[in-house]
Amino acid sequence: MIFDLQRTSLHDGPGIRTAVFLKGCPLRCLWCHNPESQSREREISFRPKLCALCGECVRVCEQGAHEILPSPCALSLGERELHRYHRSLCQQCGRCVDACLFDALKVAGTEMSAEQVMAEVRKDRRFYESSGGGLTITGGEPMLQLEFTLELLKATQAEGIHTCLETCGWASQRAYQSVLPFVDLFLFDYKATDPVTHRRLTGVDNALILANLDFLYQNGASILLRCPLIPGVNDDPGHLAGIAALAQKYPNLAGIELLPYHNIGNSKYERYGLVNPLPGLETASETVKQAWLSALRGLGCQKARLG
Amino acid sequence: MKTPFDLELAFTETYQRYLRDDPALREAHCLWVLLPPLFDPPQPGDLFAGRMHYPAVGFSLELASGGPLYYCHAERILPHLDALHPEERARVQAMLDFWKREATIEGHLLSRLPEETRRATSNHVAEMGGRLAGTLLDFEKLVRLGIPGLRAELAKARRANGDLPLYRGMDLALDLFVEIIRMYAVQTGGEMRQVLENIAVRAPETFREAAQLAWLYALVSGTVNYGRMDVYLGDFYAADLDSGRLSEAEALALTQSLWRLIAARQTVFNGRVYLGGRERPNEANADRFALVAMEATRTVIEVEPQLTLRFYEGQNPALMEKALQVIGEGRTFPMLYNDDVNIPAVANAFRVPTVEAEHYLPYGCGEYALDHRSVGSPNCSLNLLKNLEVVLHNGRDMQTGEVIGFSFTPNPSNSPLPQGEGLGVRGESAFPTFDSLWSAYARQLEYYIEKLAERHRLEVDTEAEQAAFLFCSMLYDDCLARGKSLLGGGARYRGGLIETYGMVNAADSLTAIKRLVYDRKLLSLEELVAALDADFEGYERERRLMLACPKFGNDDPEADEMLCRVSDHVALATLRQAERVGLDYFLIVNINNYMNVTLGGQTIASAEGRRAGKPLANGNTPTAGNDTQGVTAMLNSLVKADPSVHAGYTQNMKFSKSLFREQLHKVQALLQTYFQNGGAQAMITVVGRGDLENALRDPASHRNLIVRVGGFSARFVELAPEIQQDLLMRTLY
Repeated sequence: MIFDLQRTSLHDGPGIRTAVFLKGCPLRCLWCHNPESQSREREISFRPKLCALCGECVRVCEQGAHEILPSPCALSLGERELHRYHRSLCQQCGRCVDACLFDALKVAGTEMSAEQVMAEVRKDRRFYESSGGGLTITGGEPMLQLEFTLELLKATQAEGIHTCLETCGWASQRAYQSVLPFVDLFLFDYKATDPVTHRRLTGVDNALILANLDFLYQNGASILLRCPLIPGVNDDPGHLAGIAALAQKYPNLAGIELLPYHNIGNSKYERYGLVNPLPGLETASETVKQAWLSALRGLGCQKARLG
Repeated sequence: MKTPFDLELAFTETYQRYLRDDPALREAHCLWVLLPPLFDPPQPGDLFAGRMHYPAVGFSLELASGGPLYYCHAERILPHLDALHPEERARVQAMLDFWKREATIEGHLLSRLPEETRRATSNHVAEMGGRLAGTLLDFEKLVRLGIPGLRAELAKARRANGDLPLYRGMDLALDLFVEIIRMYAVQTGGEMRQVLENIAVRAPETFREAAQLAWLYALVSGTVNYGRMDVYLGDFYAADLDSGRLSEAEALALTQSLWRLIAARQTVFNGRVYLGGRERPNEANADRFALVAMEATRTVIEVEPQLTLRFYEGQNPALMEKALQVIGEGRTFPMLYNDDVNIPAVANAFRVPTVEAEHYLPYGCGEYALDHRSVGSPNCSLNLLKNLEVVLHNGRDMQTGEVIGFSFTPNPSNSPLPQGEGLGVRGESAFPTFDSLWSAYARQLEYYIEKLAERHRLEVDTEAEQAAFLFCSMLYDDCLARGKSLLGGGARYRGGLIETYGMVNAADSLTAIKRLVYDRKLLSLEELVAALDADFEGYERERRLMLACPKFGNDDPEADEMLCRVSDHVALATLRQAERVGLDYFLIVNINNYMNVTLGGQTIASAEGRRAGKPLANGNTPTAGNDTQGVTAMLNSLVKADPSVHAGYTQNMKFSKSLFREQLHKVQALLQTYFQNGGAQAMITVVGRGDLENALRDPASHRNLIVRVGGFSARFVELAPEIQQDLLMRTLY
């Protein structure tokens, strides 16, 4: 189950890459900018702004999940409120998405076989070769769909294409052991240093994550540490010190990327009928980003750079 | 009595005096009257002599240098007529009347055009003007031989072929050229004067002399593209630098001055200077000049010269590195042309051996020709999307109401250009299958193409009868040896080109019709046409369906195959005409200037979801905003059409400054792979995100924001609003 496939991805690993986004994540990071990546199920997004009130979705829905109120109601509700989408009734069958002519209803979550994904991946093969790029499997959390991830990694590597796996680190050690030989570079997320904070911000404890990082490192994996930094949320001195400490502990890390928060995901919550747990966060400013960098440099961490 | 049009009158009298003479002699005498007063004195800071203006009546090659041919721009004279003394007014009026008959295009050509040909080439699908664009002179020969050397060549040819009027005309033309050089020498002083005096009597010996000679020759000839400058100036440049005659800073200053003069000439769609590529005998020296030329383009912020870099696998990488630096700073130059794709493609399309194809040069907006070997002007335009509109409406242009195409009925009789509407059924009954629609579309295009080719041949013959193009002929293979003028059998290859527009829109529309009407039967053809006629008012559902169909530019097989189908058909139908009408080549180009906006304005809504009057796609680039699958997918689509059956498709792309600044190696990889995959060329605009939007709000502080429109670059703030909107819509990667 994937929710997106992006060609010419320039920010998820080295070179020019194709990024496959797998659906489902064990974490619930408060700042998540891909809320549709969290659930393992298919989801339907609804953008009232695009809806033309044509009623096609009402006609095809057997559950009665779509309802269009008679137009006089617009006087009190506003035109955008006339289309009611009752998610509690929805079975995610997707018929309304097919029927919608206006892209107001869209589905997140498509079943694809590894071979189907490979067909897309192959199209840019020559761009990977010239740029040192390849395939990045990300999500959500790819380790939740271990069989698929493993199959895709093997197929990709068998064709000589470079592989990156982005992971939050929360899966069994056995799972990591199984993918280890097929991943050329791990993009390993590091979100908070203090265990209590980690739990508060992501919903899970970080002991398992740190243990997996250590396991991968000790077993020779090439690892790029990726640290999302959200101003006022996890950019405290303690966490920056934690990043610096990891850099010291693991001198052979392929690199450390700071990923400054960007609020592009805000509008997505509404579309999926979700509640944004941390609304109103500001995109990180240039000054703040430079302050992080110099703080890390001050702690002796030269490897960190902005991603 | 003096009028503002004394020069025009004197020119006209000279023409009349030599009316019955050989066109070569007539031209020489006309130029003697015309040219000297057109040359303006150097301005402060100019390091070369040579600025000029153009009168309302005269002789030249094309509009960009005053013309076309023997021309009369009555619209520049008429507003002043009333202010003239009655006697003078009568003389001027008589002159206007005379040129109505006698102007090469408006008079001679139009008067001999068969009515059917005229109608078939004067409508909103197929339109034809007249000019001689795309001359590429042998500047290398000029600077190698100098004026005395050219004289000697002339004498040699005369010994072989006799004292032809053509040779006498050329002698007179060279006398005139020397006269103009001396005229400037008198006006100026110092080193500039010395340079001018030297080149009047001997071959150039320095970089400055060679550049001066070439520049003045370009002006007298009326040509508006400046040849492989790295080849013809490279040795002079290297020798001057190595001997210490010139410092690098001085050489750069000279080049910058030349660039400013080229820019001041304002030839807009022309002004090409070529660097790099195969077949440069002095490659190392040429490379040295190429780097200075690119530095001049980086530092002189102008929209001309349209610097063009040819490259091939194995070329000195410093050239491409420098090119990307200049492009990355937002100069839109140099434009990049891949020899490894273009040379074999040109060899095939022009039907010439590889050794000839190695001399291909893209002039103007991107039309290929063979350097000082071929002459083939693009004088007609073909709106491929409008053709579909006319086919779907039983021969009718839905904007003007005129019947300009075939009547397609259930039993097509296909009489050419019906007088009235035929049995008048639009829709299903006429086209029961997609193939029947396709063949109607293809058949009608062929008809227009045939007529355009016939008219082009007629134009070449008319022009050859009227003029010898003396200055061009002297520097074109094989005019001297054959004793024939450029178009009168002298040029080694004589051809012609059709500028096509709306190819991508036509293909995307056909894809949508095929899918919606014939494959999935979601709409009837009647419903679809009704939606187009209504400009989608009340047909929002239908428009959504059309927009949702695959579009060119996304590496989508269905959409890209249709593009190839349209491209191949138009290209091959055109290529076949050469033999039929007796030309060495007749080919299409898919380039752009601002015609995508103009012709889009003449075309009603179309089945890819485009609203009435909106711009067409730009060259072979996806319709603005339709490429949504990332730049690799877009680049993969661009290389799908066969490059070896046409004379140039332009590929415009817009990248962000941040991408160039922060991920240059990825940009390099993108372009390198695109070219290895078969990319023939790239025109790259680099702008900051938000730059265009900010420039609209605050034009004054964005004067230097230069963008690539199509076949030309422009200051964004000076463009018409609809062109600005088109540029904003294009995907920024």
